[in-house]
Amino acid sequence: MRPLTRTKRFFYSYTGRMLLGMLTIHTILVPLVFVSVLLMLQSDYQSQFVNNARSHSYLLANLISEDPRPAKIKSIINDQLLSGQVLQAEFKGLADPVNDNFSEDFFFGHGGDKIYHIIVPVRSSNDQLIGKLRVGFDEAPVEEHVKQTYRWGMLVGIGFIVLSLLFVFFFGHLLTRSVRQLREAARRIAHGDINERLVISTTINEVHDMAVALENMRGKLVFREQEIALHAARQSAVLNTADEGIITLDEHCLIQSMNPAAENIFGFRNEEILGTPFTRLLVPGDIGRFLSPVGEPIPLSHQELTGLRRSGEKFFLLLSISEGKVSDTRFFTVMAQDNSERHIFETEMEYLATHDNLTGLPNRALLYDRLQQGITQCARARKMAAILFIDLDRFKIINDTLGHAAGDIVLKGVAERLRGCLREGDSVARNGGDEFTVVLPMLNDPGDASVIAQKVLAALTQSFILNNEEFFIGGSIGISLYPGDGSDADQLLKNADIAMYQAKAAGGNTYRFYSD
Amino acid sequence: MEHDITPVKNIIFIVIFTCAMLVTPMAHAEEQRIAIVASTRSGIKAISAKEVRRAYLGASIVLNGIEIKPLLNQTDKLVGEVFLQKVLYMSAEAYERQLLSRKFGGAGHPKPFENLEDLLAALQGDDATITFMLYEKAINTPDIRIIGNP
Repeated sequence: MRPLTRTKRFFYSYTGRMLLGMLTIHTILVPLVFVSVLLMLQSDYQSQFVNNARSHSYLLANLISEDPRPAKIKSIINDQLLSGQVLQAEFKGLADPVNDNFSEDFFFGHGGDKIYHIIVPVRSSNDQLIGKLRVGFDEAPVEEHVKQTYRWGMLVGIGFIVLSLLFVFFFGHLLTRSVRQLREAARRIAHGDINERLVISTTINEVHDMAVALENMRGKLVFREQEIALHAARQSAVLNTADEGIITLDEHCLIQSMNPAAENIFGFRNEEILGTPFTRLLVPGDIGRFLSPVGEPIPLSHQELTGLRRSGEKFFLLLSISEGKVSDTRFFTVMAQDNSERHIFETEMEYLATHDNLTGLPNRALLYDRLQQGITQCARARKMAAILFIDLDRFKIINDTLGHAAGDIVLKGVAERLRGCLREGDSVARNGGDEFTVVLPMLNDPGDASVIAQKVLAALTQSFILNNEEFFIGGSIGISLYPGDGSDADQLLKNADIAMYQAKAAGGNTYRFYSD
Repeated sequence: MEHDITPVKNIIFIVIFTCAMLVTPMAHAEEQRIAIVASTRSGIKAISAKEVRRAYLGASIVLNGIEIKPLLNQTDKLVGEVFLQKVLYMSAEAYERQLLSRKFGGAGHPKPFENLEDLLAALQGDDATITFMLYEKAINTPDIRIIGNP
């Protein structure tokens, strides 16, 4: 759109339109009014002239009729000519010859000689016609007067138009001042400058109403802007203080925003990651779980993938992905959690659930599990397995005399010594108190169990140094064998326990195989 | 006082003035004679110029026992102007004003006729009525009689 020139802009303005309107009206009306008035004036002048001429002629005829002697008539006519009241005067008696020039006018301006001629009959006192008086009156002064009136009228008309236009220009300018103020205010609001209060002083109701409406609109905009700012601040606070990493992606999977939690998780600053593909935050093997075949993120709910930190460190990444839409633009929100700690915690919890807290040995539950595995393994390999049920001798004396702390030291030492006695693949567990169980899978011969039982007894009989004193304990070991003494873990454990009591009954510090 | 008028303004002035002149009625310059007429049946035999003037100015004129009723002949602008110039010695506007002032004083107003047939019918219809015509027209019009030649 081409910008309007200054002149065009003026004529497209309210003042310009008023000027054009006024000019149009005046161009039509003023000539009509002034011509009408001037014609009336002209008619009035001419009528007065004719009236004066006719009445003057009548008086002159009467004057002559009073003394119609030629000398007197001549004297009267000369007086009239000298006084300038008439331009021409001629008396014709009834006997005088009348030529063609003895004519008269009945309308002003007729004849073209600028003289208004009147022929008046002159009668005697007894109403007898004695002659005719032809009087000529000068029309020129009236014509000049009419011309003068026309000139004045035209000047007044032009002056009237000019003054009207000037008045319209200044009045239009004055009238539109408040409208221009409104326009400026609207422009300021459009440019976002909404904090300045709108003050427009006008006595025009429509403009005042518009100003009030605009001010109301501005007030609402200010309120809305404050609300939006507050809302944005809240959202920002939520994003900034959230424990979860929140990342927004566009439909091409490029990172649009990342909150501080996400920065901490991945080790990237916002400015170095924005606009880059999200897939750089995943190990290559997991990209297929994140992206669909068309390259869009797959909506996920608490799916664990392997994340990649800026340092290259891999970690457990718990992702939830949801899709959103603003106007026609799709976007994706990724909720990211570093799941590494949870994994560590779960590992610890599992360890605590399956191991003895004091000695670090597997507890009875894990032992049971391993025993099951050992049985299965042996059954498949057609091998034997042995369960050694160990109960410490004289441990209660140490516990009662030196206290639980000393007892714990002994138990830890026993555990350490038992570990040292076992082969790779064997398991040792603490059942609780001073009882331990050893599982020996994949044996070829019961004698193998005897060898290990002897090693265990040898280890246990070595002294423990407690409070700078040497203490000695021992162990009673009951042994059950798979598959001879039972086909399942419960049976085997029970039988080993029975055998242990047999060893204990034999005086302790010995081992016994289960026997029916 | 002289005014500085530009050529364009002069042209406008001339155009307007010429138009104004054109609307002015034309008239013959020859001497015109006016005749005062009445119906041939009318009892009014003759009337002087002064009586005609007074009658048309609203005065009550009784002739031969008849109070005359003047009728205004407006069938032609020229006949009116000739009558005003030769009998009443005043302009049309002055005559209108005069009649108006007389009318406010209670005097009668001569009835105007713009159609000649209506005027002649009015003359025939009332023997007390008189009117004026151009002399040449009057002598050629039947059923009327010239009663004055002012």
